Amino acid sequence: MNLLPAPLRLPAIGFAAALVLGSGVFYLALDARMASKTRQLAAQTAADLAARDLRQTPQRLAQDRAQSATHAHLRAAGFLGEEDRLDWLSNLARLRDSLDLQQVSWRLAPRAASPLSPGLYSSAMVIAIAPGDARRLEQFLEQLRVHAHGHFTVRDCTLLPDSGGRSTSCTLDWWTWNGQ
Amino acid sequence: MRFGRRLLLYLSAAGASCALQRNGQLSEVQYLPSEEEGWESFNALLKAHPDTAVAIAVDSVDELYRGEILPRAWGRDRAEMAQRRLRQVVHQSPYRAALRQGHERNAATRGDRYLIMGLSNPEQIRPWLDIMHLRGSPLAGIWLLPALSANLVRRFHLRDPRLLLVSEQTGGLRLTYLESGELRFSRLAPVDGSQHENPLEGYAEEIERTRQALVGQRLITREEKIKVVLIDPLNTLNELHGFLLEAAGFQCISINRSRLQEALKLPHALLTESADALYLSLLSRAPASANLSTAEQRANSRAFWLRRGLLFAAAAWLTLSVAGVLLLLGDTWRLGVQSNALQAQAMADRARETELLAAAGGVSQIRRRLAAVAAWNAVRPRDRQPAALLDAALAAGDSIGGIQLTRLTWRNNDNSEATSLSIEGDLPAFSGDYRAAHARIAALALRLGEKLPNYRVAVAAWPLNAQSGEELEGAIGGGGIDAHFQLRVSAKP
Repeated sequence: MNLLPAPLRLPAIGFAAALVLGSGVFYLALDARMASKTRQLAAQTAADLAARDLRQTPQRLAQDRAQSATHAHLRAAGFLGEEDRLDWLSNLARLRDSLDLQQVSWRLAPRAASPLSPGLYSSAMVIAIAPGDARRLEQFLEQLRVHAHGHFTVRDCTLLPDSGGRSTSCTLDWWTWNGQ
Repeated sequence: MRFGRRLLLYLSAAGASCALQRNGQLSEVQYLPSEEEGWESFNALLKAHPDTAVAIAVDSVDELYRGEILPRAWGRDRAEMAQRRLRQVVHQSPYRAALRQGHERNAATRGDRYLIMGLSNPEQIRPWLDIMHLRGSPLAGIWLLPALSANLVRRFHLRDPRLLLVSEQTGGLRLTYLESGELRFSRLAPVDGSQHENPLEGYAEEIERTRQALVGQRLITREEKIKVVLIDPLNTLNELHGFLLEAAGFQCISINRSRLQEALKLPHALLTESADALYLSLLSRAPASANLSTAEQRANSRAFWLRRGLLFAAAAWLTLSVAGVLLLLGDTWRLGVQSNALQAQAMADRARETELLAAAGGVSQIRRRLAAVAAWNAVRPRDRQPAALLDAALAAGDSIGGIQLTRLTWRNNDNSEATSLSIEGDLPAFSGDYRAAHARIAALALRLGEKLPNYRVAVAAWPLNAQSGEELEGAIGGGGIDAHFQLRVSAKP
């Protein structure tokens, strides 16, 4: 403190203390105000959502009634809830017999969340059938769709025609929705 | 420190006058007797106005004025040179100042003109300063009365090159000579009324004596006329004009009370009793360079102001902070009230929504059902089958002789609503006739295009790339020749 003459020491300390105290209290008040603003914005958003949902309630009721048949179909088709892998794979064996295929081989990947919609999941299944011409492939996919408790789409298919017979491999995506 | 306040003290041998300056306005003008009685009054005044700076004007015969021309210098050099010269000229007193008065253009005496002035008897002001020291009052400065005259001349736009200001003061008759508005010389003449029946005769004698002194100091020549300005706040010097004849080299004008009050914006009653109030009012605008304070006094004054400045800044900062904090807390409270109202509104809306949707299974059930169907709608566009494209490609391949399809890859594209097909093939009986091979592949592409009118068929790779820019190499005879090709089938845009 020798840097300052004696009469100035106390005022300088007072000034520094006022600076720190004033700034500190101001900062705390600013922090409290920002927290309050954040709460207000969240409350505003929640209120807007609630108001919008309330406004849309009649439309949602009408839409729900209109889609009730679709929803029932989805439930029956195994689109809702957990995957029924046992049923899918059991159907492969049954189709091998009914379509008189020499071999059906498959590989099923773990279920993964899909970016297409919240609560939507897909499991990739690579399947190879032999012999596998176009018509047999069509029958195989059609019967699998009819009998399996689940819904799938075909991502890609490769047909290898050769002189000794044809083989086909496809990648299927099995879709389920398990949203909360 | 009371900011905007100052105590103004006029000191003379006969006594003192004091006034309080508040926001530029004079008030509480009072006469203080000399010696102890006056000091006690001054002490009481300081007690009544603690921490108020005091500016002192001294009207004394113990004064010294000396014009000097010093070499031109700047900054610290100028200050050191002036201080050195001050110590030489006014060695008997610490109260001294060098007033810089412009540049001397005479080639022989080139340099800066200074008026060195000093209070040669410091004992006159010592008791007053001691009282201030005891009371802890800061000193704003000490000025000789004539140093305030230049400001008065400017106020009245007196542009004559040679002016002699004459005013009746508590301590006597003050005679101040100014050249082009700059102070050159001044003296306080004691007034002795016993020598003349009319005291104004004595004043006229003093004015003449002053002129002779100016001639003696070579400030004017004997023949030069001089303009005498009678500063007359008490309106008592009118008859003096009769004693200062133009034939005697005087040109005399008066500035009376009403003009002074008008020009200096002084209250009506201020100049009725004492002429000192005039100079007290000028003291508030005294030139800083004519301040006679010692270096120590200036340092103390600076420290005082710095101390007060720091305290003021601290108080201002705290006040600002408190004001800011109050504003922020007020806004925080307002936002809190708004949040509560919004939350209540949201809860009411949700309750109403729940009530309306209860019959349909509740809010969450409806949301789940709608979300499930929305997800289904997102998946449904991918529901495409490969058989039609594959079948068409195989049929087209079978219809063109000499072509064997080796690999057909169908893709369900994620990013578009259409599918695509890649066809790879070979010509098993290829003998080297590229022209015939290309014709077969072109026929295959054409046939495929006919079967798939919504698709575009393009040959991605021919058995031979016959572009002139390509380097080709091959051998005919000694083995089979490959003739691979590739077709791309994609949806028309």
